[in-house]
This record gives sequence, structure tokens and C-alpha cells, in this order.
Amino acid sequence: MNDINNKTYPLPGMVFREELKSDLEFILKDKVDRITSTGFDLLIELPPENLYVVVKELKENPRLRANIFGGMNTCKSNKRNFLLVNLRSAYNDLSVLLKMKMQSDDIETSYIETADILGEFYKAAAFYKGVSRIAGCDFNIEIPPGILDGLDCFDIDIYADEDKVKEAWIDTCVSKVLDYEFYRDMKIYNLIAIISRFDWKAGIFPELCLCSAIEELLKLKLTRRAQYIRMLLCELFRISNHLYFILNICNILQYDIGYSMCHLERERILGLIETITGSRVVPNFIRIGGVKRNIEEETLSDIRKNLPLLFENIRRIEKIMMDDFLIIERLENIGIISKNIALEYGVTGPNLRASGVRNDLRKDNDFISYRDLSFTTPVGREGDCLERVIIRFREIFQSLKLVNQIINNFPEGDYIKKINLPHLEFQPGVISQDIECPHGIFKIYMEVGERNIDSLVIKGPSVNSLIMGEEIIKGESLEDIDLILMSLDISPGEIMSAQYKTEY
Amino acid sequence: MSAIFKSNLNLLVTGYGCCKQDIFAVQGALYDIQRFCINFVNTPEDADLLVVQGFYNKEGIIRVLNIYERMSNPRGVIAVGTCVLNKNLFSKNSKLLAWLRSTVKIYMYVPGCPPRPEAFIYAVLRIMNES
Amino acid sequence: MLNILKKIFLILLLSGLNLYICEYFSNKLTSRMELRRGYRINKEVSIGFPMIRFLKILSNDRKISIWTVFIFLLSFLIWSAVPLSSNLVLVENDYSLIISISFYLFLIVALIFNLSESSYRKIFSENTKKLLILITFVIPVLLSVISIVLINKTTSLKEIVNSQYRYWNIIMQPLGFLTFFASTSLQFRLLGVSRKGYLSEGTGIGREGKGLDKVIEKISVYMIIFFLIIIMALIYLGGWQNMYIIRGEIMLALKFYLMFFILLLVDRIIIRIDNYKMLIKINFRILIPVSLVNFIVTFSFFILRDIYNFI
Repeated sequence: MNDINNKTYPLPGMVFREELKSDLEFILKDKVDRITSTGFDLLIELPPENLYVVVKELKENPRLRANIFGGMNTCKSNKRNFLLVNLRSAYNDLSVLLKMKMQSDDIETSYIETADILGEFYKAAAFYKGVSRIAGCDFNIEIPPGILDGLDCFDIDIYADEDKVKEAWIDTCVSKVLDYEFYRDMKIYNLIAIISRFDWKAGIFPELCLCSAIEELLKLKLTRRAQYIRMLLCELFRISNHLYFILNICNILQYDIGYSMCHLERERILGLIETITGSRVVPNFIRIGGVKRNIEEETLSDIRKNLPLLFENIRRIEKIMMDDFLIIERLENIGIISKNIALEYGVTGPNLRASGVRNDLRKDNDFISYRDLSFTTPVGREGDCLERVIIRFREIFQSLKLVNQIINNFPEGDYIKKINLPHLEFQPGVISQDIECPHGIFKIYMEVGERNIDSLVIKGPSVNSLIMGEEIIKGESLEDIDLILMSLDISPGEIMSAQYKTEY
Repeated sequence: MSAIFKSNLNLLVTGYGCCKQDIFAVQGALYDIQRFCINFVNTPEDADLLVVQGFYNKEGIIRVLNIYERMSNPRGVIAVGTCVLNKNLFSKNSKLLAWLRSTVKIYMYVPGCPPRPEAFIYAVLRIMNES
Repeated sequence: MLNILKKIFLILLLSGLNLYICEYFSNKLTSRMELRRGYRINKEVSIGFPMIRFLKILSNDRKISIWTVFIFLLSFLIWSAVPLSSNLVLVENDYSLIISISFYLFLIVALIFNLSESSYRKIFSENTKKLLILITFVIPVLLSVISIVLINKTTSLKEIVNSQYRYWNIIMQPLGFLTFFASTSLQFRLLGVSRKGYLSEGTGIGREGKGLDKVIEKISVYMIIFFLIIIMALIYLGGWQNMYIIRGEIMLALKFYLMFFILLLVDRIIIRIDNYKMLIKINFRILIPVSLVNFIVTFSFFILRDIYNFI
């Protein structure tokens, strides 16, 4: 019985990926160096000269049709320098990473050149040209970073006619703080401790992503109890994140009573998280092979006691917010994301679901052990700000349902597999790991040496939402900009990892 | 009379980082910092105290100093979080604290990564009660 | 002469006292609609607490424009024709309602000019736009005031109050009262009376600021609200009419504070208004049509009763 939960059967996607790999090898032939399967993605190594041909083939071949631009990252270290481009397809399960080796000197210039080439195929790639894109543009309003969490990591330059936005450019010059090799000389347990700062609105997910990637490399199977503890924390953090989102919306609307009630409920959730992990927002709780600490029976009964209260109160918040015709009028029909735009910019998570695409890694892949539990993924229709708020409320109720199921079927057993962490030795390899975090799909790509991590690329979903924000605020009035950008649920830590700083 | 002027504080939070959500949690109904007559404001001209937290690059430091210059009657700076106090987690060569110390007066240090809301309230109340 | 000075002193005292109490209450009320647990500040400060904000703002000096002086004068002149009791009125006049309402309109116009003069970080168009929204909220007020005049056949506030000895006007004009109240609460919101700190960004008036002009602005905003509440109490709720054994003046004060408290509560559950779309939805689709219907009904009633003597 245990084996079913411990991934002994091949996934349905896995078989498809094998086919795809041979397909790609047949189509691309000698244009690329190597194709390997890394976790959920296919890694294609290619020389920089062939990029144009390969991307054209990937986009226009009717069997592949990679129409989504996921993102672009640099990795620079003593040993290796490369650019990483992520492409996905909306029609099939294709998800590829293009890796181009570069010389260490010209990586900044080639970064812009690559963005130029990709810009011919994908609109979103223009964002990665950075400052050089904004230098030539004429704008008449410059909005500095705001105060609220989520609006504080970028400038917006706007060309406005009276109060309608005609063009908008987003400049992330303030948020380039990341060193190229912040993980150098760092042991893995140190990295686990600090990685939750990449998404501080829901701190468990980066840790979970890193640990499960390493477990995939080590072929480690988790016990059922560890899986359930992880799922419990995931759902609690998801509720906390969504409540934070709603209270920020209330703050922009100056809707005092909703703001204050959301704060109270969030504090209740954070209290539960604190009893489990010992910290409010940055848990440092997931370990390789399990979790740090066991959950006692008292904690479970504490959660059980709080669940009906949470349900009642959040239902009340939803009721008073959605019965208020002023709020409905304010949120309706602004910042509309159509299905095509959302897919084109590679948006994932609740923002994509609000515009009518059913996409949830918890359902699609065998993510932890969500197969045991019954829940639905809410899908919206309109894709405007109101829909995005409603989707969050519905996801909170689904998460509460999941928490209820988890604590009622809490299995016995060990919470961690004992491994000798300081003397851990890997098979050197490459792995990429996806995870469904509250903003979308969180992705980690890493190359592992014998002891340490040689290169690490972190890509959060908020970057794609931010790039799309540039597109959807066009045609809206100036007062709505804050509201629309806030309704995309941008997590600044993920913006930080999107662009490495060039000089200090 | 001087006690009256000292008691009402307007705070301006700059930067972006994980400390921000715990600083703003103080506005919620559980901690309710407004009962001590402390408000968060949006514009530098109104602010008495500057709260420095989170991650900064060169551009960010320049902007913080600009904000400090725009404050009409600055009382000082509160430095919050390990990134400001000790070293930035993600860029080891960060010299933010040295920059700040050379130009402005730092009133209070709040350690923690991120600090708890109670710690932040305690720091602000210490400033209020000093006379 | 001495009598008038005494009255002026009384009115100033009353408005100062009201400022103190209302500021205290608006600080005391949390956004959870409960009273706060109390302030833990130094003992010597606790009495002066509601005035701290005003005193603190005064400590900085800033240039004062001519419109600020106008606002300052108007915010006291507004009380000249309003009778606060049967004796306490500065200028006895048959047209007191018209005079006081026109002072109120002047005050709002002066506020607009003052704001556009000292554009405070905000761009000019944004502030004026929000204030133009404010002006449209005056239309329902005017319509309901006109229908009250038609009902009572007089423009003297004193006579309007005296004519309510049997029953209050609210029974005759429930729709008018509702539109008046809704418009007042929306103005309360737009002027940003209880907005403090980070959440505050009303029209730019209620925002935190420094210098004497900000204090004057704040006082004038309070005066507008006090004026609207007093007018509401006078023309709809029977003013200083005695109730059983309770004196009329005490009744007026009770009505005033009750209204202010309700406005404070309502303020917490309205979102901010900074959008033309919102304005059209609230004002031009709901408030103005309702007040127009009320006005037309009253007017036809007036014609039937007084000109053709049908009723």
C-alpha cells in the first residue's frame, strides 16, 4: 500500500516525455548538442548561433508548437556561464529549457542579443532587454515604487493622454540585488534556510521545491506522514497568502472593515503555522527526506478547533465584500486578461485560472500526494479584477477543505528519513523541479556537483504576471493602475531573482 | 508641551523585503499600533521617522537618501532586519549600514529575520518614551 | 453689542468643544467598529490628546495663500445665520437657510481653489477632479433642501424648526432625508475626516500634512460636516423641539452626536471614491434620480395644495 504513494508507477506524463524526446532528436538533429530529460522538463543544449533556427522550429513545427515564453535567466560563476530560456506549449505537455554556453566576459551583451532574437517570436521577451529598452522611450509620468508589498519593487513609466494610459514600461532597476553566486560556498542546509526569502508571501514553497528536487536526484522516497505534514503546511501557507492578497486589495480600496478582518484571520493562520514551525513567515522547516519536527496531537486538535472559526469568518468577509455593490462596481471590468494574452505571457496559477484555463499542478502532476484527497480547482470566466478576487476566496475554501481532510486522515510513522547530511554525496546531475505555489508555478533549475550545488536558477511566476501587467494597464485610467497591478499578486522576491544585478 | 510633540509619530517604510509584511501586520486589529497614535504615511514630507528595511542596491540607497532629504522634520531612522543590520543575505558586499551611518542618525536597531511585530512596536514605543 | 459678543463667544466655544470631542471619537474608533482599548502615552499628554495632531502640524511654517484666509473666514461665517437654539443666533433673518447654504457652497469652491493653488505632491488635475466629484454630491443636498422649503413654505430655519412642533419633517420627507444623509456620508468620506495615516488619501484635504494651511483646511472640513449635520437635525429631525421633559438644546446635542457617530461607522464600510465610473454609478444613477423623484412629488403636491387648493 505504501508503494502506491511512493511513486513506483510511472506517471502518464513520463511516457509522453520519452516520445517527445525522440521526436525532438529527430527534428532538431545536428543543430543541438544534447537533449536530456531533467525532472519535468527537457533540457536542450545548443550553441548560441543556432538559437534562431531552433526557436523557429520549436514555435512553428505543428507537432511541437511551443507558444508560451516562460522566462529567461543568466547563470554566471567561475566554472560555467550560460543562459537559460524556458519555453512551453499550451497544446501538449511540452516544456523545454534551452541552455546556451557563453563566455564569461560577454554574458551581459549576449543577454540583450538573445532577448532581441527571442523578441521576434515572443512579445514577453522584450522585457528582458532591461534598461536599454526604456532609454529611448518618451513618457510623461514616472511612478516611483509604492509602499505596499508587491508594488514596491519597480518603477512604472507611463505615456498618458489625460488620464488614460497609452503606453507603459516597467523598470525593475531597484530590485536587482542578487549576486550572481550567492549560493557559492554554501552548504545545502544553509541554502534551505535562506531560500524562503525568494517568496516571502508564502515561504514554504521555495524550500519545498529545493528539497523535492534533491530528493528526486537521490531517488529518495518519503514516508506518508512527512508527505502529509508538507501538504498541511502548503495549504496553510496558501490560505495565508490569499488572505494577504485580499487585505492588500482592501487597503488600496480603503475598505477598513475588510482590511481589519482579513488581518485578524491571517494572524490566526500565522499562529497555527508558528505552533508547527516556530516562525511566522519564513519557516525553514522542510528537510531533505522529510520535515524538521513532528506534529504533536495537541497541534492537530488546535487546528481542528480553529477550522470552523476560520471558515465562518472568511465566509463572512466574502459575504460582506461581495454584497457591497460599490466594491463590485469598482473591481468589475478593469484589468481584463483574456485567455490568449494570459497564455502568451506564460502566466500561471490563480491569474490564469481566473481567465478560464484549467491548470493546476496539484491535479495534473503527482505533486506530493494530493491524489489521496478530493478537491476541485476553481476556474473563472471573465478574467477581470473581481474574478481574480473571487478565485482567491474559492481557493481558500478548497484549502480549508483539504486541511480538514489531511488532519482527519493523519497517518502514523516517521516524519523524516535519517540521512547523513554533512557527508552527503550526489551523483552529479541536472534537475529541474516545478511546484504549484499560490502565485503560480515556481521553478528551480540546478546542476549538482559531488558535494555542492554548482549552479542554481530560480524562476518565480510573478515575473510573468509583472510583464503582463505592462500589457493590461494600457487603456485603463490612472487611478486603476495600483489596483490592477496589486490584483496580479506579485511577490517581490521572485522579481529579485529574475534579473541579476550587473554591478554594485 | 514637548511631550505632546514627541508622542505623535508618522512612519514611512522604504525598501522591499520580508520584514515589510511583519511591519504592516502591526496595523491590523490584533496589534493595532494606531492606539499609540502612530501612523504610517505615504509621503516623505509628512514623515517623522524613516523605517529602513529589506534589500537595497546602489540605486536603492540613492533613493533612500533622497527620501530622507525630502523629509521636512526628520527625527531619525529605524533600521529593521538582518539585511540592514548585519549583512545582506543575497549580496555579501552590501555596505548599506555604513552608508546610512555616515549620513544619518540611526535611532533604533530592530534585529530579527524578520523581526516579530511586537519587537517593532517595542522599538517605536522606546523612541516615544525617550525624553 | 455685548449680547452679540457673548453669542460669538458661545458659538466659538461650542465649535471648539465639538472639534475636541469628535476628533477624540474618530481616534477612538477602530476599523473593527469597536472603541480602542486606550492610549498608553504619558499622563500629561492624555488630556491634550485629540489636539495633538493640530498642535503638531502648527509647529511647521508654510506659505499661506489668499484662499486659505478665505477658508478660515468662511468656516466661521457659515455659523452666522444658523440658529443653534431659539436664542443663540447671530443674524436673525427670514432667509437664513439660503444664506447658510450659499456660505457652504462658497466654502467648497474656496477649498477647490486652495487645493489647486498648493498642489501637494499630486498633479493638479487629479485633485480638482476629485473635488468636482465632491461638488456633484451637493446636488442631492440642494434638491432635498428645496423640497423642504416647498413643504414648509418658508426659508427661515427658525420657522422650519417651529413648524415641526407636532411631527418631524422626516415623516413627510423620508426619501429626502435618505438622500441628504447618503450625500453627507459620501462627502464625509471624500473630505477624509477620519482618515489618518497610511490608509488616508482622500481628496488631499484630509491627508496628513504640515503647516498652518493644513490646520485651517482640517478645521474647515470639520466645519462642513458639522454644518451638514446641524442642518439635517434642524430641517428633518425637529431641531430644538422639547421632548417630554428633556430640554430642546440637549436633544439637539444628542441628535448631533448620534449622527456623527453613525457617520463615523458608515465611513468604515465605504470604499474610497476616486473614479468617474463610481461617480456615475452612485450619484447619477441612484442619488440624483431619487432626490429628483422626491422633488417632483413634493412639487406636484405643492402645486395641488397651494395653487389649485385641491387638497
